[in-house]
Amino acid sequence: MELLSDFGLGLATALSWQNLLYCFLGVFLGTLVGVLPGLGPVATIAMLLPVTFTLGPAPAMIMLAGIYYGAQYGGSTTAILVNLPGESSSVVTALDGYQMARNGRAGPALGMAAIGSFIAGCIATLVLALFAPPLAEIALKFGPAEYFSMMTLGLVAAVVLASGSVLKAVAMVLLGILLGLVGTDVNSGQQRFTFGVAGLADGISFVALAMGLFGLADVILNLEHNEKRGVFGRIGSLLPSLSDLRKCAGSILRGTALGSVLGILPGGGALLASFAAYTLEKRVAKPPREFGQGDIRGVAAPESANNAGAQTSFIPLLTLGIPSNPTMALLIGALMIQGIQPGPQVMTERPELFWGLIASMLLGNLMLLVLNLPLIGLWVRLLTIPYKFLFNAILIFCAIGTYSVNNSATDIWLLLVFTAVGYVFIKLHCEPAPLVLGFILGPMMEENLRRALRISLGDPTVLVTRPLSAAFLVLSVLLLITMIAPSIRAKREAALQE
Amino acid sequence: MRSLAALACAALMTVTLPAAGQDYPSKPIRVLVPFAPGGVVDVTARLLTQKMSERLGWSFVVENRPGGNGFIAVTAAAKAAPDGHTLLMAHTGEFAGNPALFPDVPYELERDFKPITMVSDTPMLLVASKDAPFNTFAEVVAAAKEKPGTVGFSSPGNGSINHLAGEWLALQANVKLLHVPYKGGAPAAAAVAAGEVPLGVVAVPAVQTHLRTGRVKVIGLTTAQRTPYDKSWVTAAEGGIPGVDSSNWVGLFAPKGVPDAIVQKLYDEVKATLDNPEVRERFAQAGAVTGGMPPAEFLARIKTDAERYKEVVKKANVKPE
Amino acid sequence: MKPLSRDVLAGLLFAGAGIGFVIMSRNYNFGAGTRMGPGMFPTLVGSLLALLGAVIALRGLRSDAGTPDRFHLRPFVLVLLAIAVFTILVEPLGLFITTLLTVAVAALADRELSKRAAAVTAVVLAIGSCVVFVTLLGLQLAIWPSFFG
Repeated sequence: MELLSDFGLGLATALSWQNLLYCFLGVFLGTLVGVLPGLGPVATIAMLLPVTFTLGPAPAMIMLAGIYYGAQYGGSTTAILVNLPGESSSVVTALDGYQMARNGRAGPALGMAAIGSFIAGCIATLVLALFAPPLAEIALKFGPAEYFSMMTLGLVAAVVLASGSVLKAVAMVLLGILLGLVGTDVNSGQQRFTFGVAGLADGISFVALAMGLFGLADVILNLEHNEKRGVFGRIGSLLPSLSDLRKCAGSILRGTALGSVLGILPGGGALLASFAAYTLEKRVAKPPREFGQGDIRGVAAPESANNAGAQTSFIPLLTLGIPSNPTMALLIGALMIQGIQPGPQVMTERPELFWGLIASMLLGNLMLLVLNLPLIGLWVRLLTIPYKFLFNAILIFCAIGTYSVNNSATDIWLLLVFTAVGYVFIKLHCEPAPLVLGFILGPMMEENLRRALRISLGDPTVLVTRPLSAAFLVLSVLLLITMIAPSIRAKREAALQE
Repeated sequence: MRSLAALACAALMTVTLPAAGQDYPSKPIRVLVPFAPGGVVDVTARLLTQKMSERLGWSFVVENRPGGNGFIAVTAAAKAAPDGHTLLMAHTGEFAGNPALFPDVPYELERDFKPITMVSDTPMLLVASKDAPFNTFAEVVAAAKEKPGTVGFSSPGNGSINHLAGEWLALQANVKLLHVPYKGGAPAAAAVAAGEVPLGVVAVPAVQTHLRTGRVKVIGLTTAQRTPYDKSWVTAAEGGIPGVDSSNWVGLFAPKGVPDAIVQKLYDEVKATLDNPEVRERFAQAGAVTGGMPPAEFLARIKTDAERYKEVVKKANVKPE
Repeated sequence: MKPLSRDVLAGLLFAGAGIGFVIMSRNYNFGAGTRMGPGMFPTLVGSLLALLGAVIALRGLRSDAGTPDRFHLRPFVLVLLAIAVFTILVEPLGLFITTLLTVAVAALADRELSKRAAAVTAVVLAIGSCVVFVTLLGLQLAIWPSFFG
């Protein structure tokens, strides 16, 4: 019952009019910057940090956290509407979401993203409240060997993101890994493949890569044909139907479960959440054929996973002080400026802060739902703007967004390169999603492999002698076999028929 | 084009300079930070500028230009218009570490900058995981002597000051340790807490949580003096490894061309802000000591540090590659 | 002569990229065992990519995967040119003028867009992006050329 009284204390904190206001401000701003391509929660929180000095820790954290998970909501909007994934998680949402928009189902896609995120956010917040300390122990069980093997599994699963040729998808993953290695090598500090360009020292900008390959390459494609009625079909209903909801219930729950677990892992788990959920969905959902063509489950699952992961990634932050991503690092900074060291003692020494934050997350998720559902009408109406005007706006916003991440002109040059490459890929039927996952996971994979081998003094058997790591590798091999086998069998059958 | 514009700006500035001492600052002051938001240098910059603007009503913009080992931000600051409206917040790495590590650093301390003052100084700790078979410097040295090059220590990155401090300890103790770089202080500390690596060289904020939960124990400090944060922590010298003095300071710098009057004014104001007990308390909580030494003294300190790290890098054969 | 199938082209592209990375990786220490050098991982992945690219290309030669979809040069060149204009001009000229010029180039990509409509789009976008991104969101971007002060 202690939990109930703690939670009561949290609610009391979160329900003060001041904190409600900051919570709303946070989720509103988060949604806004999430919607605008390129601008992410990191830039926003960095900008608002000085404001939070004067607020006191609880309202500051409530607002900043609101920006973070609010941006996760908003990020899917441009991915669905105009194929512009501003963050790694929305790359997956773009796959089916954008197809839905082209089929005139942008409304249901956006609605399902909001509903899925809401359910996932609430469940994951409860997980956070109930199990934070024991779950933090799991995070510490993950050493470099486990991360390496988990990422191997993630990459094998990435192939499922493509609906065409398996071989080409594998090649795209490999190319993605190589592109991810550009920049300063963590282990040796050496700059690789940068051609001496200072702007490449930190690697290729993710935003430039994703916006070029997806958004702007798609703009060129749309400009090929001067269609009178625009790119998008007629706009249908604004909200998902009951049958949509019924169809997605399982996807949302599976996505939430996967996302909650992966979010706990500070070494890149949350990044995998949406990819993993999509892969799982494509395997279990029946019939799977529509994935990639605008299946609403392909939106519900990754969005739920993504938001669940966003909430549970507060676990390593609050209990171990380990940031799982740049936004979290910033939140630690905000806490430190307030004179609070993140860690398990926050829960006992500052219960009003810890529980207030958790209660505010529940309220914030509700606010997001209330905020986002009516907005759908507005977003969808944006699509009725004739494409000849819209594409100029997309172009400018992409360029500004890409520049704003690091204030670097190099990044816009990269945007140009990846736009060109993305267009060539479209023409050659090479799907970019696996490349993106390779890009994200490749460098982390190398880093962890090298670290694992360094600690084991060069003995590669650590990868299989540690049970968790071995399990991931076995799963990877099995998955690879099930993927390649049908294509080989199909070939043989085709050959026999000839 | 850009440099032309900068030149034009500079020309305009020189015309208005004589009055600069009085009406400075005439617009928001940009403080460039070579790290992403949320890191120690960033937090220090934000805390200081916030307190300064509370006191003086000046407005500041903290601008993060992370990457390229700090080259990007430092070079940008060096090239900025020298009117005192662009400053640089940097740490030991940029001015004492990089020159030792890299053959061609695109900036030079005395050629491009005027140090204003040290803002904070944080000692580093040699820590061990709770089950590691050593509790003191002597026991660490004994273990490393037994199996040279196999006892690992984590650091926030290759070529980081923590890495150099670890190598420095090893050099002075005449042993060989295995360096395991991580991406930042928190993961490096967590690796020790999880027992992945037996040792780590980390700063107080990164390891505080794990100290409280008892997953990590302190072997001692990498500095010559004990810290007021916890007076029970021994220094390396007291633990039997003499001659090591490595800490992570954060300091404020102005481009070389900024008039001395403005540098002096900035120094006075920073110093006054740092003397505020509340500011001291904030830094103390993070295990840091506030600075505030005069520019000349700060410059001397940086030069000493640069010399020492140069020797460590050479002797320990640390390569940025 | 029959045009190359898209799988052959894609395969050659992958193989080329893989070989390129392997060649560049030779500048980096390969390392071994305990100390995997910075060159080892990219060499392995690059070789794998080159191999796979070759397989894709060979399979493409044997089966008939279809030719690449038609490449439309006009929107391709103009969109890229527009990005280039933005990149080169945004720092010296500020956001407002750059947006105008970028849209002026990009608008050529859509034949339906009349000169007048393009001009209006450019002005609306220039004002809009300055207000939203610089004034409201406080991005560190200049609106006007720096020599205006």
